[in-house]
Amino acid sequence: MKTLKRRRNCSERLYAALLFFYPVGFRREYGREMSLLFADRRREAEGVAGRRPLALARLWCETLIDLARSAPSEHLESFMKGEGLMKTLRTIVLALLAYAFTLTVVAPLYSRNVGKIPGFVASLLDALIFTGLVFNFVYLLLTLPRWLEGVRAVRVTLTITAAVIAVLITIMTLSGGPHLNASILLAQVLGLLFWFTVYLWWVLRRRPSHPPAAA
Amino acid sequence: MAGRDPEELLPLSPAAFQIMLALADGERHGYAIIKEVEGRTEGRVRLGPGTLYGSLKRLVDGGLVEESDERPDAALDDERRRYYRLTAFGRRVASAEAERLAGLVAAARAKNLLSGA
Repeated sequence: MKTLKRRRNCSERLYAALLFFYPVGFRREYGREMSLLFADRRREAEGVAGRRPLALARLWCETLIDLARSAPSEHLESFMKGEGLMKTLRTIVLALLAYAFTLTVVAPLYSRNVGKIPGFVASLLDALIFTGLVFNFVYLLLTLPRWLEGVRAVRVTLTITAAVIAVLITIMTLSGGPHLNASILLAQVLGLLFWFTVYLWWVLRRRPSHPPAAA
Repeated sequence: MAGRDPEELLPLSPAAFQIMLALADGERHGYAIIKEVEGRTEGRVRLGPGTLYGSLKRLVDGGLVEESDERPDAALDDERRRYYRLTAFGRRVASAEAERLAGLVAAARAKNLLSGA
C-alpha cells in the first residue's frame, strides 16, 4: 500500500512538473484542474484489474502525446496574443527584424541614392534612420525589464534619445566630423518628433479604453 | 451575443465539438466531460488534459461555454473542481455545427459512401 501511495505521488508530481511546458498564464488558469484530471485518470488506470501496468503505460503514453500536441499550440496562441514572456520575446523578435530591415535595406538604399536626393530631404532621411535606431534601442532598454511602461516610457525615451544624439553630434563635430548646420539640427529634431509620435500612437492604441475594475 | 452569427465559428474543431456535445445535456467538470466523450464514442476519442482545457479555454473566451457556480450533486461534488456549461450562443453554434455535419453525411449517403444508404 505504501509503495502504491509513493508511486501515486510520484506520477502526480511528475505530471505537475510537466505542466511547466505550458505557458504561465495557461498553467495558472488550468494547471490545478489538469492535475486533478490526471489524478482521476491515474486512479482509473490503477483500478484496472490484472492489467494495471499496461493501463498505466497507456495513460502515460496518451498524456505525453497530449502534452507534445497541446503545449506548442498553447505557446503559439500565447505568442499571437502577446502574453507574459511571449510578449517580451515577440517584442525582441520584432525589434531585431526592424533593425535587420533598416541596416540591410533602408540604410544601403539611402547611401546609394543620397547624391540624388535634395539636401534637406537627405538630412531628414538620415535623421529618421539614426534617431529611429537609437529611439527603439532606448525604448527596449526601458520597457523589456519593465522599468517603465506606456506614455511615461515614451516620454523618458524621447529625453534620453535626445540627450544621446546631442552627445553623439557634439563628439562627431569636435572630432572633425561633418559640419553641423541648422538644417541637420532641424532634421534631427523632426526625426525625434516623428518617432515620438509613432511610439505614442502605438502605446495609446494598445491602452484599454476602460480602466480595469478595482479588485 | 445575440448579434453574433454561429456560422462564423464553423467548422468547430473535433475536440471542441465533442466537448460541446458532452455539455449539451448539462454542466460537467473536466473529468466528467472526458468520461462522457469516451463513453459515447466507445473509447475511440480520449481527450487528454491539455487538449481538453485548451479547447475549454477557447470555448470560454469565445462565449460558447461558461463556468458554472452551481454544483449539480452536492454528495458527489469535489469543491476544487470547476464545472462548465453551454451558453445560449454555444448551444446555437453546436446546433449549427451538427446541421453542417448532417449535411455532409447526407451528401456522403447520396454518393453511396455510407453502408445502408
